[in-house]
Amino acid sequence: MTEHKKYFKTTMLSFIFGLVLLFLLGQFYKKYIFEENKFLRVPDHLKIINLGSSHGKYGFLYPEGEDAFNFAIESQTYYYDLKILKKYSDRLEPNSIVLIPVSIFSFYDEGWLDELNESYYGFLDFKDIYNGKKDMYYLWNFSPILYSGKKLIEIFQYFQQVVVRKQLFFKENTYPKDLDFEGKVKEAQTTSKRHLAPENLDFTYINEILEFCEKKNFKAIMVGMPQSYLYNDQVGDFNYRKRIKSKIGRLKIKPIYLDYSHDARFERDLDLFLDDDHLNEKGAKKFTTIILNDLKQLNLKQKELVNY
Amino acid sequence: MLFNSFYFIFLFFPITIFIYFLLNNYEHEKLAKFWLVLTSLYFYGYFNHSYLILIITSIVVNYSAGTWITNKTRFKKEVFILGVLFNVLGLGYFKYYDFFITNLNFILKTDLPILNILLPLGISFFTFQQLSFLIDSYRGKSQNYDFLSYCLFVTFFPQLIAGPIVLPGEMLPQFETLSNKKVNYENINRGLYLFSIGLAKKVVLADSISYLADLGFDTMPSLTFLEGWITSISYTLQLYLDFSGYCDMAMGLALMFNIILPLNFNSPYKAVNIQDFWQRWHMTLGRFLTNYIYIPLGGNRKSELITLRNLLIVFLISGVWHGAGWTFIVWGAFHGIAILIHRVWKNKNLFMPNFLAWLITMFFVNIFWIFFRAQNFSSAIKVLKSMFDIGSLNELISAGYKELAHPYLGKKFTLVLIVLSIYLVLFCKNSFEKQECFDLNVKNRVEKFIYFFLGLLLLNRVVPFLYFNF
Repeated sequence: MTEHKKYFKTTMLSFIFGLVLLFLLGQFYKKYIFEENKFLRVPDHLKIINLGSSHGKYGFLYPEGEDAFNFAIESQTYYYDLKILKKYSDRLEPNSIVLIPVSIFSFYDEGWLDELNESYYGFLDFKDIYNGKKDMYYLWNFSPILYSGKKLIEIFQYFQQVVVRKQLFFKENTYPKDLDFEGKVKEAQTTSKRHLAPENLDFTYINEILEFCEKKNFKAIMVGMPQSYLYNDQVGDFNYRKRIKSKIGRLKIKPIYLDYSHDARFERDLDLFLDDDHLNEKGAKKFTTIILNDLKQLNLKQKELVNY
Repeated sequence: MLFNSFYFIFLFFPITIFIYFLLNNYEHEKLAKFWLVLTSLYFYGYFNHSYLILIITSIVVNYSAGTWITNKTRFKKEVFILGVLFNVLGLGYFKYYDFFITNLNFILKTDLPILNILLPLGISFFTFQQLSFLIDSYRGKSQNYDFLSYCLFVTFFPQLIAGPIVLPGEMLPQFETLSNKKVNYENINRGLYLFSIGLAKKVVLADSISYLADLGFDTMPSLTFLEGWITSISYTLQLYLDFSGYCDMAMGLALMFNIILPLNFNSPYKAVNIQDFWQRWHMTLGRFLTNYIYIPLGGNRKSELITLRNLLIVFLISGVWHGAGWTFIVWGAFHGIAILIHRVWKNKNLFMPNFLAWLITMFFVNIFWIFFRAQNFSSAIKVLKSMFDIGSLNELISAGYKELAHPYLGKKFTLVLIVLSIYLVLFCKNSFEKQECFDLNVKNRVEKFIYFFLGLLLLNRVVPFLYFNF
């Protein structure tokens, strides 16, 4: 029996060792590979920030030295824009500019997917997670690897990039080179169809964002992000008017709206896009420079500049 | 609560077993038993609180009836019949009411309402266990056990939801044995080993492979020849790895409490004929049906024709027990017919080489599982048709299938798991055999460590056990 007792003890010790290892690897993942680890390094004294989903995430690339931060995450809804803004509002200077990207799906409730919550487990408080699962939240924070074993593969995949080359993880996302014109049109059809599908209007969280900005003395500006003509042709002007412009007029507080969705400097130049509706690095640099200049020239007090 | 969940592995089980042995250590044996019943009911209620009333009512009624039959001389038969009716009608209502009404509406062109009753978890298992208690009591085989022991016999959480189907005679004495109330490190080591194997079988293999089975049965409108075979083989493997994985975990957990559960699987896919298959597959169901249906019907004691009839009845009941649907009845009937053919073949002393016998057995088992898995006949026919559609050989994998199969781990990875599973199932020792030759060596420790952590890494994909549906 003593042999078995000893064996049991060493088995338990090896299990504990395994769990500690998973914990450490999880912390490594969180720090270096977690796609949203930028939220662990949000600077202070910010003057310009942007919220938003993938259109914002890939659309803004602020130059070094600018007191700006990109808070956008893929598939982010206004619900999480609000939670993020509230959480990090103390990092913003008074009178900061809050850019709120608006896309044709932004004012519509798309239903909720549990998978969307995962990105927020790593930096938001549990109370801010929409229908969050407590066990999953704590599990993620103990070790993202236990939350999903696939992350272990990512560690091996990007270990060299992160540790040897000392670069932060960056997931490449480019327009596939072998995609012909017909393929690109087909892709735009699929994307626009998906984006036009939601039909239930929901102004709850965008109104709260605008009210919060007003309360905190931040200047909220809604931005129509540049899109390619492939995407715009599929969506159509009618939908832009119906789903964005007319809806902005129905918000409780009317924000400034800068519309670059059909901007000729971007729309026809597919070299600036990574797919039909997202700018690539080159496009993001160009767009950020343009919008920063426009913001400097804009008299932010004259809201009537914008036609709704 | 699922065995394959963090909550179970890191909270529920360690706390339950620690307090159980602690109470026993201080000689609070009744309290320890009560603790185990309480935690088992919590385990059951975790899925759906409302079904606690059902299981508690069922326990009280069956225990009262069984005790009456054992101790009283009057109305024994009446109480027995009432008890059996209570169980059968209860199971019938929850499991078959909607199926019955749907068919009645179809035949009589009526419009009787469907109740959409949610099947209470484990009802088929705990009803069968309690039926065996009633029948044993009526046959005078049951001893007087206290209510708490009986509660534990029914609710003991390792076997509560999906078996193995245990008999009172093999379980109740184990709960009373004094030596079983002390920590036994050998059993704990063996139990952990079995649990780890079961966890890996379920989480790493069965849940990964399930994707290809679901894709073929539920998503794809049509399949090519190769896709059809991938679909059916995936499900054949998934079902075995899922259910036997569950049973390994159940046996391992029970063993840590010093309780030995009966073996439920003994490498069924190594069977060389259909009878051999049924002696290796879901053995405790086979034992129940033999003891309480086949033998009372006359077994093989009467004419050959009666024996064949009895066998067919048993397999039809087995089909019906598995689910309320015609596909299950067809599955049961096919197995029954196969058993009859095998019996006739055996009686004529005809010979077949082992490899060919195995190949034919597996071919049929694989084909029959299609009816077991398919949501309806059209889905079954779709898969079945594709498996014989030689004409589609020019296109091995269709573009649609490739697109849908790829996002999940990568199609190639899942195919590797299928090949690995086939190897493990056909050429390796099964988990019980491995546990039997468990030794205190480094190899076993490393193996346990790997199985356990592989399981943990994929635990996030919470996929319930297939037999929870039955």
